[in-house]
Amino acid sequence: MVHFTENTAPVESAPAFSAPAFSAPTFAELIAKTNFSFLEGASHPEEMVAQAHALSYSALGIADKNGLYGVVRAHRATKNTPIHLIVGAEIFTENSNFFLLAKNREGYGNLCELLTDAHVNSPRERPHVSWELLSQKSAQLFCLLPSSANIEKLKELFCERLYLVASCFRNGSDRKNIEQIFSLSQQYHLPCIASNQPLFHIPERKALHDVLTCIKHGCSLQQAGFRLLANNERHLKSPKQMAALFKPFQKWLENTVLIAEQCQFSLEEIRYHYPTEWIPEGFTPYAYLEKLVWEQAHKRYSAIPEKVTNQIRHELSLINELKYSDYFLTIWDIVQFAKSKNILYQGRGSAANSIVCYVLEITAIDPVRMDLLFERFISRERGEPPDIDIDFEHERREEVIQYIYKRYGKERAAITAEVICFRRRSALREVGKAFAFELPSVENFLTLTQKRSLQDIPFEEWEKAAPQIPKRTVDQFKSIFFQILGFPRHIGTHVGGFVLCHELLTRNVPIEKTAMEGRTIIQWDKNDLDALGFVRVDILGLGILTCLKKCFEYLKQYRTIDLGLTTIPAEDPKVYAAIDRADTVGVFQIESRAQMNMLPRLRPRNFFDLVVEVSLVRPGPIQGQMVHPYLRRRSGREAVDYPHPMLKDILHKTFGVPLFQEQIMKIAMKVAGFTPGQADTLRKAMGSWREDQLGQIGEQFRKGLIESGIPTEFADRIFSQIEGFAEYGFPESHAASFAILAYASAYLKHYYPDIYLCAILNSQPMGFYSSHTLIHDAKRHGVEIGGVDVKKSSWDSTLEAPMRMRLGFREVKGLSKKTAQAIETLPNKKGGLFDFISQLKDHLLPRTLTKRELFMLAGANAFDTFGINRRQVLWEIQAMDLADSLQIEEEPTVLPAETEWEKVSLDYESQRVSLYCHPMELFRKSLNQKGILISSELKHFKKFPVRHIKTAGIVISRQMPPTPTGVLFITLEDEHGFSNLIIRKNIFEQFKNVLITQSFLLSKGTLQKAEDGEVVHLLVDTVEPLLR
Amino acid sequence: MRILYFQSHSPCIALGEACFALTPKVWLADKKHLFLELSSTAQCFKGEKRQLEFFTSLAELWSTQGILVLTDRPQWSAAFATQNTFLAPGESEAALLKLPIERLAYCGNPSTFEAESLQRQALVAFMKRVGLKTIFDFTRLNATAISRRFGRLGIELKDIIQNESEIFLPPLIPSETIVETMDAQEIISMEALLFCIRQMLVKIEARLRARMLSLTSLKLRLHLEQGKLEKTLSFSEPQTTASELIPVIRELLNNLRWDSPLLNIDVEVLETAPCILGQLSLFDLAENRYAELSKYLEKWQIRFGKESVGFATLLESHVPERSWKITPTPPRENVSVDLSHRPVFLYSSPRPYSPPQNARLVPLEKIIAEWWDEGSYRMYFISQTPTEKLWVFWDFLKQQWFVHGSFH
Repeated sequence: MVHFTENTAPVESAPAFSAPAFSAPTFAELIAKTNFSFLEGASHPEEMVAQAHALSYSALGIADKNGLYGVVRAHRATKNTPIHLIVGAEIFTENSNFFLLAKNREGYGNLCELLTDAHVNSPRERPHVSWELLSQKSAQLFCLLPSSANIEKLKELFCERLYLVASCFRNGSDRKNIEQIFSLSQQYHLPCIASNQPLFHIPERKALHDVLTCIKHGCSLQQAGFRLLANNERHLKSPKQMAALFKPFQKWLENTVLIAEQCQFSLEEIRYHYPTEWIPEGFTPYAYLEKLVWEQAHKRYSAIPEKVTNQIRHELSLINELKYSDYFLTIWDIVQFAKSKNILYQGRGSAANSIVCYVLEITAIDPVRMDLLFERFISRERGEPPDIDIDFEHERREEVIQYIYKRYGKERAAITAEVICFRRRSALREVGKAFAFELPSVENFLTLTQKRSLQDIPFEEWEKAAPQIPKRTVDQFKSIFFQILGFPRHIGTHVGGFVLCHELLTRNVPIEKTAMEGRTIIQWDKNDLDALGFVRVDILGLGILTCLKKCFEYLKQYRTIDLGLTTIPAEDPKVYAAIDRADTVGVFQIESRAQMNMLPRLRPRNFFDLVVEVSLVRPGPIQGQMVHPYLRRRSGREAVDYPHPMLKDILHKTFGVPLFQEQIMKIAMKVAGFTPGQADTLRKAMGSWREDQLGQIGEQFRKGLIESGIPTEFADRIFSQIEGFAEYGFPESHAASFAILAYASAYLKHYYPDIYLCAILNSQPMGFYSSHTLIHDAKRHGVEIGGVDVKKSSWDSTLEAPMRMRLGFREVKGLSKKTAQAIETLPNKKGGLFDFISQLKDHLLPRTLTKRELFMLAGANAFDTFGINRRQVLWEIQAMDLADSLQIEEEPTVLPAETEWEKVSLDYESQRVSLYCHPMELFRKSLNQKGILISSELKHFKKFPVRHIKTAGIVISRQMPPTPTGVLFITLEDEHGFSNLIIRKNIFEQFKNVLITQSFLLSKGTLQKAEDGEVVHLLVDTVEPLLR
Repeated sequence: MRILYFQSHSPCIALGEACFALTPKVWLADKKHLFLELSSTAQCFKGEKRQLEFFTSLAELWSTQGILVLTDRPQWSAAFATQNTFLAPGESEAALLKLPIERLAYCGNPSTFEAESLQRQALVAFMKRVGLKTIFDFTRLNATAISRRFGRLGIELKDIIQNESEIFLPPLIPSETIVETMDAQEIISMEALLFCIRQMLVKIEARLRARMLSLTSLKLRLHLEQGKLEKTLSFSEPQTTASELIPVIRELLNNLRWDSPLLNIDVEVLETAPCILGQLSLFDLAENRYAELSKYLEKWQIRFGKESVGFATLLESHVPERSWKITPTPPRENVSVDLSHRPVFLYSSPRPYSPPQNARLVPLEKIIAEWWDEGSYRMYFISQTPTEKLWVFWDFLKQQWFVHGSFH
């Protein structure tokens, strides 16, 4: 450990430092920095507040560099303390820096606007405010100036609200600095304040601060030199210590309290309102929502069932009570835009529990028909805004985002920030660099800490991981590593969480531009927004929606079939039969190896089964040991029983086994006597993995269950399940939303495999499998596929006839869309290779055709149409001078013909697939001679297990779930399908290198069959590379 | 022409120098590629086999690992260097043409390989894509086709393979001084030490023999954990073998004492004499080498020791005693940090101190730094009495006062 506390320093007894005992030192630290002054502050805002409280401060000012990133956290931390938080920031102009503190709401708004200006209108790496805006927005702000820079200008702007800042850092220059501040105050008649400008809450954080400085400057501790602080003085000092330091200048201390008393602004004052200006005149938001809901309900239902009516009334009343009407209306407005532009969308997550969302066509699941729990979405006790996530076609999400910006303006709409923190890997790497450790040592630490609870690793193991590093240094490294975990490093952009505001958002929170053109983010993350009651809309992108949308378009275009998400025939037995066979490559949510293994065991027969399938292969049910009991009961191999009669209503549809979050919450409410809010708190507390949060409410739940007569063992099982649920489990509503998409994609794949393949290839990147696997799977389903052809292909893959598809230029590696489109639009594609390339060269504007692109096209056989073999085309292109004339006159060169293996290899070099043949076909003859089985033969054995079985294929997936058993799952693909390998830990260790590095594997082992299905897998004994 | 090519994993300059005893034609493409022309001296050694043995024994002397290739042309040598390859006269060309096309990237002068690496790799990759498998396939392409596609490099490679162009290899120029260094941390006895020194002397003997020189004076340096010991040995008769020197060195070491662990040893040749008679240079320009200032420095260094006289260079360290060092040359630029509050006169190391009763202690500077190393945990004060003004500090760890400098 690094210790800096000087217990018996003589400083206090030294003559100049022996301060008299002040009865009540009056001081408030006004400009403390937290770790949200990224890589400068070395304490969390919460730590700063707690230390201020411990030092009996009455007020604390947080003034981070260029932002208000940490103030909400500090604000939350002050809630149970008497400390008054002063909100401020360090501001930069082109040639100076100073601190601004908000006096009141107006001052806070000005501060936000100034920070926004700094971030939006100056380079990202050096934000600075303009003097012009500063002169307009200086009202109700205190300015604290630590130097003489721009003193006259600032005095003119802030008048009596400008103070000079004096500090004693004990760096040898204190006397000189204080004399300078004193003389400036005399010269300009300015008051002064004392501040220690803390960078950490306690002196012990000096070491961490040094390391952060190294990370910031990209150097090691040894190289950092004077970039490091000379001492540990920049901590939060007690009023008594400050009084001792500024003994002759008590007035400067008193001034801090005077300022603190005048800074009355609190973040509680921020009143958030949703944009409502587009609501028709004469309507309140609620009245308009109510009108819309009933109108839409009549469209959704031919006759509204009584149960639905009651549920709508219940939800509307709660929405009105909690004042969320305008939020629902905003979502409705966004969804209306998507509909008007024919953008496919679907609400997901807990919003699907709401009938209001259903009738407003935000979600696609009828929660009443599915008996879903509204309280999972909104509850009175929770006091948190509802969370509506909407998925849009991933290729068109940007249109929705730009609509929001256009409709509300960039001053009123911005994306939520995501605070990027030091996690295990980044912390080990960056702290390791600061300590100048060799890369192998850092790699050893990474391996050591992988998949283990950090607290459980004894120090000896840290030492062993880097035996050449002295023990003391390892100890210091470990200590800093633990401290830095969770420290913010910088802010990023949330995946799609939008904040919209009726007033100017820039007066509520500073806005920054992002690296992506046209995007802006606020300085707070979702937790900060929740704490202040800001509501956000999650605008997400989902690849399968793009794929489905394209499918519907192609069906109309090529087959004149008009189909949509809501008109796909439901419950088609042939579709379920295909799903049962795990014929689901490319099908949303049920295509992974784990899902494909589960399908033949669960054998979905209807939509609810699909909902279960989606939910079942998740860590929640697996961890809660619910999977096998569910399968046994469903297949009738185990009797269905309920530990308590009250559970029958809740668990009957899942045969007495709780699988969904809603079921757990219902158990809490109906059996353990929880209110809806308590039930949701329980769910969240379990997910937080924090003993302190879990303790009380968890015990209350267990007690409630046991008091109702539930056996302890069952109560414990539910308990362990919720742990997994909150982090990894789905609510039923969410699973149902996904099941709709799963069914739709399965339906389209089954009936229109050519259309589906075309759509999914044109929606890449998405899903689990590469183009290679999707194409070979489609070939096995009878789809004929033509290669890329410069005369026939477009950017996207296209259908030439039923069951015949032409690959698009997008499959060619490294080919720009611009070049592809130029090829497509070439007016005359006649003539030979040279004419074609010559035309293309002239057609592209600006003339950007590269040889690399031509090579890739040639490699993908796209010039085959000219009747010249691929190698000859490559040979000719290599000689072309694209800047001059292309034609070459030279003696013809005879090049060797391609072998089969070369054909396949060249295909894969240039595009994502080979249409010549499946690579495994090239090995088949020799594999057959060696008795190596094809994937489809593995299922034909009658008795299991079968020993000494050999199979081979291309590795298409490797998965090692984080379990103590350390099993590796590999899926091999050959020309006939897939085979599953299970590699135990000892085998993995033995063949690690081969298993990780080789793409073609030959494996030998024992063939096994799952107890309740048709899934076979090879328990591997040995493995070797197929290619040597 | 017969070429012995040695591709080493480590620099082989000293080995190359010793090879002058084998052939006067020694080239070094860069530090790790050594070429020896054997034809001219083959007769003296009674054939290539003996030459190879001689070279191998020299390489063993320097413990230099590498790949040996015996070919007819220097420009083909590196292409064979996937393993030790010895090709009889006249066999090289046929063997070259059979090499896989990948080896085309290693034809020519090895010192250009790195700079041309991307071009060479691209050329080879393209050749593979169009189905060329061996270097022979490449030679069948016509020159115009190659030139159009691969420009100068393509043509150069073709010429090199077809023996139509030679490569320029810089001759090895022996270094001015002969120094051999050895790590001595593992040495625990006088015999082991002498064994090490003998090995170094054998290497020096080989290098001197290659230059046709004998030894008249050498310097032995023992680098210790704290400081170093230097001894110069001059011989009345020029020495030509290591074994003659060992008894003298043994006697010298027997009279030397050192109480700090030995880190490494240097043996430097100071003066030599030609082994064969020749005309001595009448003009020695050595005396003009030193500037005026250096003369003064030298004088002071002789008086106060080399470590104590030089230019003060500031270092970036908060710890005062680590914030400067003496360098033999003036610093290019000094650290720009205000240290004016510190005294100019510092003690070489802080000394324990007890502030007198009448001392006025003015707090000045706190240093808590370099915790990852030895660290400094101090509070500095000015300790002022009517007669003295000292720079003193309280050490938080040792709980003790020290004096570090004086303001007068």
